[in-house]
Amino acid sequence: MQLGKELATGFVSDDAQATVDGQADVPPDGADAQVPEDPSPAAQPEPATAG
Amino acid sequence: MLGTRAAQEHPGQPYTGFKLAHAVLAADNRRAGFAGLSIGAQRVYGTTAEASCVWSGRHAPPRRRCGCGFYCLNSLAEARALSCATANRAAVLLEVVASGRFIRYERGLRYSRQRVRAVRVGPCGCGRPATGLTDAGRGLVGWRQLMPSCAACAAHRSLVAFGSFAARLSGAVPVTADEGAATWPGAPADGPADADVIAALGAEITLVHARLDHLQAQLSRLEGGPSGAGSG
Repeated sequence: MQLGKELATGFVSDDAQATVDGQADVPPDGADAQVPEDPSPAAQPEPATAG
Repeated sequence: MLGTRAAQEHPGQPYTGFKLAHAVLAADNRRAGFAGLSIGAQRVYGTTAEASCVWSGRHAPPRRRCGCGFYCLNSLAEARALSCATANRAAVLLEVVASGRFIRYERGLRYSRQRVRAVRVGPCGCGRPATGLTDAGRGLVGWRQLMPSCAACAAHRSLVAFGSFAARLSGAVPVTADEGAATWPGAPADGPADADVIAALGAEITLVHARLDHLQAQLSRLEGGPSGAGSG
């Protein structure tokens, strides 16, 4: 997935997600629920994966 | 160029984005989730997830000069366009809320936290709207990959209804057919009904029998025998 030129970096919170996290839902696969989704570890100016 | 820094942003609201993922169903049929399309294809995530880097545990994604983190597109249309690619035909479209650390690009975002807000299922391979998800014939250990299907194409295979899939997700997320997706030009060619098929086959069998009788009569005549049984 080509996302184009990098424009900015930052941080943003998701208050609704905090509410969801507080509920008793369980990720489907524990620690494996954490998913990096880019196949190319090489340094690159733009991300190049679908994910 | 080293030393070049993008602008720092702290928006008041998380971003909404669109991406593709494979819908998966646990081996025990109790849970459902999603798997990415590339390196993320080896892992399953739920409706909320936090990214980690598979190449290095020393940094938190997304990191510049590394490809780690979740990805999404700003545009629903672009996500739909991605679904046309051969490798993505079985994928479903996710509407996500992207938050945490992020890198913003012209067409999308790379980010650390994700919440799936809606699942839109594209059309069946035949072109009809999907009415559920069926076994794609692929999967991971413990997880079967699903793909969009209409009832007709699912035939006698199990079809996981959208509501059934949604009920197995870790969180309340609507799962619907992607009604906004462009439809095929022209209606799907409906096959004949079962009764019509049976009638047509019956007629074919009758015709074959008649031809066999005729051939047998000719064969008997050549052999000097009677002109043929059943020929009158």
